[in-house]
Amino acid sequence: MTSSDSTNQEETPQPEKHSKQITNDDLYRRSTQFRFWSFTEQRLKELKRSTNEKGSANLKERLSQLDPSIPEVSEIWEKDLVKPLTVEEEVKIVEYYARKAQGLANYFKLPTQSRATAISFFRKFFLVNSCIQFHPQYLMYTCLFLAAKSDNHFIGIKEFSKAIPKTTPESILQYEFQILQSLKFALLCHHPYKPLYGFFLDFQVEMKNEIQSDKLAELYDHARDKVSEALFSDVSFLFTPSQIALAAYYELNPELVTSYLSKKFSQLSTINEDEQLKSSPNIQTKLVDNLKHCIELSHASFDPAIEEVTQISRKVHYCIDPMKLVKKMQKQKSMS
Amino acid sequence: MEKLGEGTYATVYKGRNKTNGTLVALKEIRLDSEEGTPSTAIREISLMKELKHDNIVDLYDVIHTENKLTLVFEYMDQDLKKYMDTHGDSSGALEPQVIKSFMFQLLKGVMFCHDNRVLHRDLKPQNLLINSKGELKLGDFGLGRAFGIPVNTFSHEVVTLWYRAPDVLLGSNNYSTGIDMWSCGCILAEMVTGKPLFPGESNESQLTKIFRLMGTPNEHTWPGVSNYPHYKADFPVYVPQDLGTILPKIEPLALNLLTNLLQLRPEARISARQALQHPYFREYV
Repeated sequence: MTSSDSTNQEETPQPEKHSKQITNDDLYRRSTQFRFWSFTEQRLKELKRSTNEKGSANLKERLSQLDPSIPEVSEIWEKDLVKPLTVEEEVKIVEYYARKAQGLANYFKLPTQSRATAISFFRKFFLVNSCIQFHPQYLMYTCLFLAAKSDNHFIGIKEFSKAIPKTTPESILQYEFQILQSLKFALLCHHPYKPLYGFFLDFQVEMKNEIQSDKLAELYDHARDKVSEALFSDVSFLFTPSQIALAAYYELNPELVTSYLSKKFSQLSTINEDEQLKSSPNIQTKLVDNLKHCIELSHASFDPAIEEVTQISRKVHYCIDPMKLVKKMQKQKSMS
Repeated sequence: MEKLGEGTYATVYKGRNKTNGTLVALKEIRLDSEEGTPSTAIREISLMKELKHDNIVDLYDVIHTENKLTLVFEYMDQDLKKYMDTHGDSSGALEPQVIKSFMFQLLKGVMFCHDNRVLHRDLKPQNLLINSKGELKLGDFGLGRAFGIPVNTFSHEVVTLWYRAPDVLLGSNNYSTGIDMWSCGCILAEMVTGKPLFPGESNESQLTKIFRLMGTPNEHTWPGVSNYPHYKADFPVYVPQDLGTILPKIEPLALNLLTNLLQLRPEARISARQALQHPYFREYV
């Protein structure tokens, strides 16, 4: 019997008084995405390292359980032939398959939101599970299947498996619960596409004298591409969807966003009674710094080359099943 | 284990948490589907994880065993239907103070769902759970779903017939929060009389029952009504009745709230937030 983490650690937000208008920000802070899957940079780094360490410890144990009477096993032990992946290798192979998930989602004609959900499930899974124990290729298939199901774009398992070589319905379904559990059953993802569209609508009203509508439509299209690319970086773990969306616009047209923000903040200071907002005149500067940082981190993805990934993938296979290497060594010996 | 109920896709049992002795409700979902975890379970789990509120039943844990998935919920003594059977007068009607308290809690739970862009879509006395402290919580989100833009892909085969809003019955597929508000109205009336307000047997008889009381809508009273897929120009024509004569026992302020909830036009229906500010609830504010 397996059980999810106890829900004790979850912060149960207090219900708001019904008379108070709840802001979108309040709503976001109550979401599981914020409560479970948002981190500081430091914490995210630690999490990746501890997951990698967990995987390495697991590998060590697996190696120690091999039959010592097999000569190749002692050779593996002595020469340290099955090495765990480094954090960087894990990041690279996860990103590679996250990009594959995108391609496969397009093949199944999944909407943008569901595609982003699949990538999000997949990246979250490997934030708490190491590639030393799970091959990302197989997990990616299951994440995509589950994302389609949870986003109401159900694909039948037979049809799904048929489209992917070397899979069976069972090989895909076998990881489903493990993924649900790793996600702490929090399946609702907030992606930057909605706020991106929201800003687009607001720009049309607020910035109509500063940007022509065809230019704005073009900007929106490019910003969408930026947001889609950012899915492969860590920004979704570090920033809110609105920040990521606004950062995409800022990167493409900083003048427009700066003047938009000035306008919005001046409106805010006249209607908002929030003391904090009033007492922080530099809050706009802080926000812009935040956007710049988000842009910088959104580019910190690798798009690793296939050769490198093939090599890491081989390592993953040996880590998961060291006997594969034993057999390979035996085969080589018998041939020579 | 005591069986508490059998749902469409799950069986609910009463259980006890061994570590702290508290009672829990265990919703067991069979995993015999060829498609892995059923989408209804996926939907319910993912919504319940987002919706943490005093008036929404709490999902503590999800447990996976070989061929079933068990959702561990906070234990509630009974549902509103059973409560009315046991605590109501001879006809099942509840005390005015109890009605007000339950209605206030129902609306708070619904407002929280709507604030979080979630429609319950299946509000009915059987899905409202009551505990010994007199707390009311929304349960069974198997049909709930997140909404946003666009909402036009919703199937109209949801809400249990008796509590189903007229716009849904007329075939609307871009309904929104108003469908839950209509159900709240039906529930309020049922608590007052102890009887379901519109116990229809089919889509058509459901509409007829509603029109007989609320009046048959036309382009004048409900602009655009004739564009609904199931609208018929030859609907029997009824004039609106006075709700107060059907519900002689209802308090005047409750009657006013009810009238605002049971608006045929979905846009005219009061929102959960507005309903909570209704003078009927003055003593709670």
